[in-house]
Amino acid sequence: MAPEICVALPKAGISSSISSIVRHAPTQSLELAVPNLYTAMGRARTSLLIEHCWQQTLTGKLLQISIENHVLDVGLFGYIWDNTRFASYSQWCSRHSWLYSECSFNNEKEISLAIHHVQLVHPK
Amino acid sequence: MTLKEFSMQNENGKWIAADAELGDFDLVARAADSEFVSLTRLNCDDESEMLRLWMSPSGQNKKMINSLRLAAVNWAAKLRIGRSSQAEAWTALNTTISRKLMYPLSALTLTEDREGMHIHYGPGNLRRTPKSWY
Repeated sequence: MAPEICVALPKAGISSSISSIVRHAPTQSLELAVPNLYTAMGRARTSLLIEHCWQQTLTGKLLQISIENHVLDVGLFGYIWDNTRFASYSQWCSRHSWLYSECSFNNEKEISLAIHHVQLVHPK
Repeated sequence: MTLKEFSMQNENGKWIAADAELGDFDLVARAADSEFVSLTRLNCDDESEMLRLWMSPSGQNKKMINSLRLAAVNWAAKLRIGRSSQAEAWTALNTTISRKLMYPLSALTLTEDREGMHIHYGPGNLRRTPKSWY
């Protein structure tokens, strides 16, 4: 986003080299609230995932199938939203999927989800 | 109309998209007006545009990143040569270009350190970026 920030902030009377903390923090804390693309992406995906799985829309059902495929891919017993296990299973699962990227963002930002999905069970 | 041919292959324990080898024959589909249309065949790395999103089965984001970066650079060039007031520049930043860049984000899998930085600064500009911008 820098090309437009480089131009727009000086035009708006604000230094373009202002700290990123001040630039991206919300207006409630008296900052500028210029959107950070990476954070906005993760936030949008998380809210989309929760909304569609909760409402059980067509997209939500597709996401549930994708979650189940992800569970099979990682071979994890329990919920894939458990951030404490992300570091271990991220070593062997596919990394190009939307869901992996979402789990990675949640792990990085310490966001915990509680979306129910089918789990693997231990063989008796 | 396009047809994406790909299969998932296991490489070093990880599933990745690979080109499917279905053979060289023509595939047709019936369009809404009952006419038969020949399908354009794309490989797993070929990105195609749909609803202003560039997508490919292999999860590449190159064209999407380029299109976002181009939009940002063009918008900045127009604002630079225009004579906007401070309020207009601020409003334009928060309404036009920000919304345009944020529109495809929920469908993307950008990483902050690599693709995200290329949108922000471009591959050649990383060294010139001040530290405070991170």
